[in-house]
Amino acid sequence: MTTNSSATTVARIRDTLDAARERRGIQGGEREGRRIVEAYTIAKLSRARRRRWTASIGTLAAAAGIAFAMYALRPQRISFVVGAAHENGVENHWFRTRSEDVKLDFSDGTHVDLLPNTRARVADLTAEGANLTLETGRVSAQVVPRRNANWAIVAGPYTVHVIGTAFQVHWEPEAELLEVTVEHGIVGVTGPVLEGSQRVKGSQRLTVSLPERRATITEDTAPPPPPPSAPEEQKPTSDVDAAASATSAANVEANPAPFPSWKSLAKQGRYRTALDAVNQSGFDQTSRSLGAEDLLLLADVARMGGQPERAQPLLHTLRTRFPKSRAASMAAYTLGASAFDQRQAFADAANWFETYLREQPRGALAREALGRLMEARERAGQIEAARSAAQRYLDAYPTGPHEQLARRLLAH
Amino acid sequence: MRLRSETDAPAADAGAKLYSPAFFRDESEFIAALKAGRSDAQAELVRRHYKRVAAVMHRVLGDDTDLEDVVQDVFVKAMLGAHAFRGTSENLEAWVVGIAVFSARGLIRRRTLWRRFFSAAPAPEAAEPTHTTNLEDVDAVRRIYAVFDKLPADERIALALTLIDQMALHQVALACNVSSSTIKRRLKKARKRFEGLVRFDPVLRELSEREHHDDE
Repeated sequence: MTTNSSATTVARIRDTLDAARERRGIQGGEREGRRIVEAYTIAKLSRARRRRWTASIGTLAAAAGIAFAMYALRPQRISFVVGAAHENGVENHWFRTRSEDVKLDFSDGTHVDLLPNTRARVADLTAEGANLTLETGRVSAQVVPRRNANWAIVAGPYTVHVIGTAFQVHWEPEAELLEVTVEHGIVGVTGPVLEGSQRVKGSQRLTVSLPERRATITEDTAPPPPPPSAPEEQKPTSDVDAAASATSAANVEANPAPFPSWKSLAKQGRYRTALDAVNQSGFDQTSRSLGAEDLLLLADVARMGGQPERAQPLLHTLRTRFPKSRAASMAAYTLGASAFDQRQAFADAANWFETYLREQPRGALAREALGRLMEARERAGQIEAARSAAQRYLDAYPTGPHEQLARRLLAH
Repeated sequence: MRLRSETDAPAADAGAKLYSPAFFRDESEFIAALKAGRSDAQAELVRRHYKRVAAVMHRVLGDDTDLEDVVQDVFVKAMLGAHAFRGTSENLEAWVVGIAVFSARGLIRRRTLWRRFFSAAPAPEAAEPTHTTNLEDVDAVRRIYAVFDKLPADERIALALTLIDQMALHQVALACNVSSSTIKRRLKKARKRFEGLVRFDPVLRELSEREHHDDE
């Protein structure tokens, strides 16, 4: 064995190594893909931690002296007392009110009233404010406006951010219904259905129903009643006739909170949420009104959103309605990929990849389609056709990602 | 209303497993998704290039029981650095192979250093051959990589890529991120050193003599 050894000897060495890899199942594929993506997530987290740690070490010594000085002058964490007896409040202690209110008085002058049938706790007390977790029921709060004040009420998936205002928050976990009524000042509410931070101003009421995916804001001059959202007491927004407000359902639609569209969700890769949004507005109805590219996008949403069986009819429809379009060819490729990956219907997959190549011989996915055609033919047991595809592949893409498979097919 | 299927393609099984999407609208979208750190693009990267990276690492490092972990590290590094990738999908493989070569070099150097300070430390464990493997070939491979272990990392990589992987010179230069003339120099030194070391191994020497005999 020398560096001028014959091709046969070198090939034997390579074959021995390749056989060892094959024997140990080191071949790549879906399982490896998942494992490696998981490893990447862990590595990314630990790298971020390591970076923070390294940065911390560098500044720690310098900061230590400053920190010590600041410690002596640190602003005191706010505290609170409970009820008329002014018992000292304990962070993270759950309060449960029955028929009577429980009042919490904070050292910065903020008052929070836990109304009857409420379960809540005070968490994360800082010098600037605190978080109040509302598990169920209603709280009424008067937050003293201060510079850097930072108060929040967390109700289920929603967070009400407060700087200084008087307001009430009601949360019904079973109905997944949130109601925020602001007497004066402004609060910001974040959570599902709402896009970004929804501002609610004085004399307004925000109602969010998670099951209905509906968010409404109404003008509200009356104090909120003990049971939530009595429409008779709501005054309609702006110039809507007051008589019509008796049934506020029509009025509330006048000021809906903005939802992200299913297309924008899909483009962010949030397929499951996008699919939920399409289902809300009617999947079939939506699909009938779409053009070629959007149909393709909707098929992707169905595939990635967990309902792959809904993608296939869409792709067939696309090919029927827009037969000459680029999207129709992409649909053929997608049908091939689905047949290959999901159903292991390799002969079917090969036909779709052939269709794509016939329609788009120089298309963006031509190399991938030819490679997968070769794989599909081989797995379907169509060895001669696989070898023919392999020869086509090597002629067109001699160093492509399927090169090794092509050479192996042609070698046997 | 269900839309009617127009072709003979059978409907997808309701319980069928959804494969991570091996499909993007075009290659630039795939690269953009990869750079953005989307997991579907990452899975696709692995799907496309796993075999090639595994082959390169295997041919550079030899039959190593840690091969799967080493290949995983290469892809994790690629994913972490994907935002800095400036090419197209055409040169994505060369880029990943470059990362693989860089990783292999680090690993070889660490192992060499470890062995130098802890001379009793065993060489990386080779995978067990099976009865289906030609034991003579397995032994030859083991001995070749034992000789490779004695070469400097850069020379070993250049030699393994040209001799075993049969990579073209310019591709080796690209993977090692050096000029072609540097690779030629490294190869020249590596060949000289390798042939000198092979003479001390009776099996490889015999193999060499047999080859010489066959040629005549």
